[in-house]
Amino acid sequence: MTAQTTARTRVLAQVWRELGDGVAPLSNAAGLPLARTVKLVLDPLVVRPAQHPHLGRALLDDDAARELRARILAARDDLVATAAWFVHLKRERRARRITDGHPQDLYFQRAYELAHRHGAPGPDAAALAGKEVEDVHDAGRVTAADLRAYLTLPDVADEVRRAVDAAWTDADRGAVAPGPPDEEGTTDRLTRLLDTCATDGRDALDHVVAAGDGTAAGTALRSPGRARAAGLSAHETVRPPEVGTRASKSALPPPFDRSILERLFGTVTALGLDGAGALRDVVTAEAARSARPWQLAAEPDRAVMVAGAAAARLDGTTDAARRLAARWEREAFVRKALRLPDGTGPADGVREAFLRRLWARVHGRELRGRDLPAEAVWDLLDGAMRSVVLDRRDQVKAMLAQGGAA
Amino acid sequence: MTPAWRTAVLEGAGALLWWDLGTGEQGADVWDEARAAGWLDVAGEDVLVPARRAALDAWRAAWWPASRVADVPPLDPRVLTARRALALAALDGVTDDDEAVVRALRELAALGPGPVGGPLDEQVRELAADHGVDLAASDPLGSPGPRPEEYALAAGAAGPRGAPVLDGVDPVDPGAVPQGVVDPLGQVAWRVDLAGGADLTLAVTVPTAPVVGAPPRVTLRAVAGETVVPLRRAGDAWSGTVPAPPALLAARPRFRLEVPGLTPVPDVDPHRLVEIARAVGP
Repeated sequence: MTAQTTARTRVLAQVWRELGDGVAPLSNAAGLPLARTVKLVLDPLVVRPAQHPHLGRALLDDDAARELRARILAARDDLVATAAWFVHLKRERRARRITDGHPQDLYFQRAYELAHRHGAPGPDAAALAGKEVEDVHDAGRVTAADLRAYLTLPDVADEVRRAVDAAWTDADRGAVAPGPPDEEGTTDRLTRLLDTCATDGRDALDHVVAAGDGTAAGTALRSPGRARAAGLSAHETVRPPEVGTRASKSALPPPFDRSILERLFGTVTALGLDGAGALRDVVTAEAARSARPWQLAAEPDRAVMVAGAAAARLDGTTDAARRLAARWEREAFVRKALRLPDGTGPADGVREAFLRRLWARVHGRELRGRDLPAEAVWDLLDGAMRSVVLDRRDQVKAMLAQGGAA
Repeated sequence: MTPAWRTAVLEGAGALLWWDLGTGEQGADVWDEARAAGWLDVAGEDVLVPARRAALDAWRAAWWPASRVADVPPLDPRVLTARRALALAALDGVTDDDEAVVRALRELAALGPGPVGGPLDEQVRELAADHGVDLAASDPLGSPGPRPEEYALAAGAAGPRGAPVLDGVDPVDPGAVPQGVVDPLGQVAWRVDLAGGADLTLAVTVPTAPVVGAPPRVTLRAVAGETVVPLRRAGDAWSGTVPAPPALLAARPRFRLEVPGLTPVPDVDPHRLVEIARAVGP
């Protein structure tokens, strides 16, 4: 028997519109939730699919749809108060002439916390919101510049270098010769994951994680030439990362060649670290992470990488690979409609660019301490491919502006 | 699929919305039903109106046939980008790219500082503040202002006088060049002259597209068979002169424009572009 299903996004949109004007600051002009409202408030704070996996699937059966509706309607007061607090936070930001960062990224979660602690904003709202804004933008919080200053202290640099070397030595010593490869099993498990992840990959991800397919593939990347072929390193043999003294977002080397500084500087500000102790912990964890398979700490994250590597072949053998390939077919038309140079043949370096983008996303999640539920797998894969498509669009625009096409 | 050059598109989450400006047809190519279900049938006109607005401004930015020949004034890319950013903000959560608004605001910043005009200014300033984008920050990759030496050349660009040995005009194919490069209703005019002694020269001129702001810097050349004439932008025209290959005189050459690396968008009808532009409006 097949149960009736409804798209989760439809349930969210409909119930959101029922919440009314009170949530307008969290909505677009059509009364639908903003992208970040879903990503930063609804999902992690209200629906929480990590605890309620049946509410996280792309298609919901009737019971789950009812439950999702009920959860959000039950949170109406919280959400209305969150919206009101967000307006206060933006007002206080403006009053302090703060322009750094995306207000939704910085304040959505804070607004929700304020709503939880204080309910709807009262007479003391301006003072409370002001304090919160000052806390977000506290000069004591660790920034990318602080990270750089810290890592360039000679003693610290030495210590981090030793930590990296120790982790890599351990990894070399601990690297057991892989058992007989279970290629058939791996292929089956990955195929199942990639066939189902866009709709419901829960069990499939569990199987890949339990079998350690991610670790096996990541360990294999240590063999000469493998990481280079995957686009994750420029070197024949991957080396332990440098500590690093400089970093630029526009000139990052491939992931495995990035220094500790380059791995952390883009995210460290958003981590809201308080003081040197917390910074030290993040750096130490990164040194250890760099020696692990895929240079990632968590097995589900490695599972996503090995699945991504298979999907990025765009060979039409799985649902995910077909969906990713379809992005390039659409892009060919959109490029013409936007009168941009073509060059959308997905052959050249797309797979490598995709894996680099995917790694950065997965790594960023690890830094933020986010675990990886099954329903995030497809969004990660699709989001990485969308980034590659948009990167290339930006590249052809820049090339046109500089006096020639591709 | 409809002809790309007359299709306005909006990349939504799970579905590509399109409007064929030639026929008035519209549609949605749904590629992920589970995602598109969150907006496509839920919000109706509330979504379709800003979606069409954003799509049309993207089309204008790409295909608006600014032309001295057809008397179509150019549009200000900053106004188009500002309007598109505002329309995309109304579609936050609906577009395929969650960063679409920030991206449009950065494009606007890259077009250089200065007012956009009218109530747009305040709205865009508000929008930028709400997205943490600094509109004054200029992008080094953005197109710089026109280089003065190009205009200096214009004075000396007068071609040879007197009767040519051979001449002709060929139509411009707007699909072969990016926006803002040549007048889409202009012609590729060429002539072969006897220069001095017995040397033949081939000169090609094409009218530029009128633009607001800096014209795009592209490598443009006129090509007929084996004959390639590099063109330089000076004043209102692209022009170039090369020694005429003798083979050129054997048959009437047909010149077309070429930008290296750009695959032409096929079958673009410049007259239809003008009709559509007049119907769609600036």
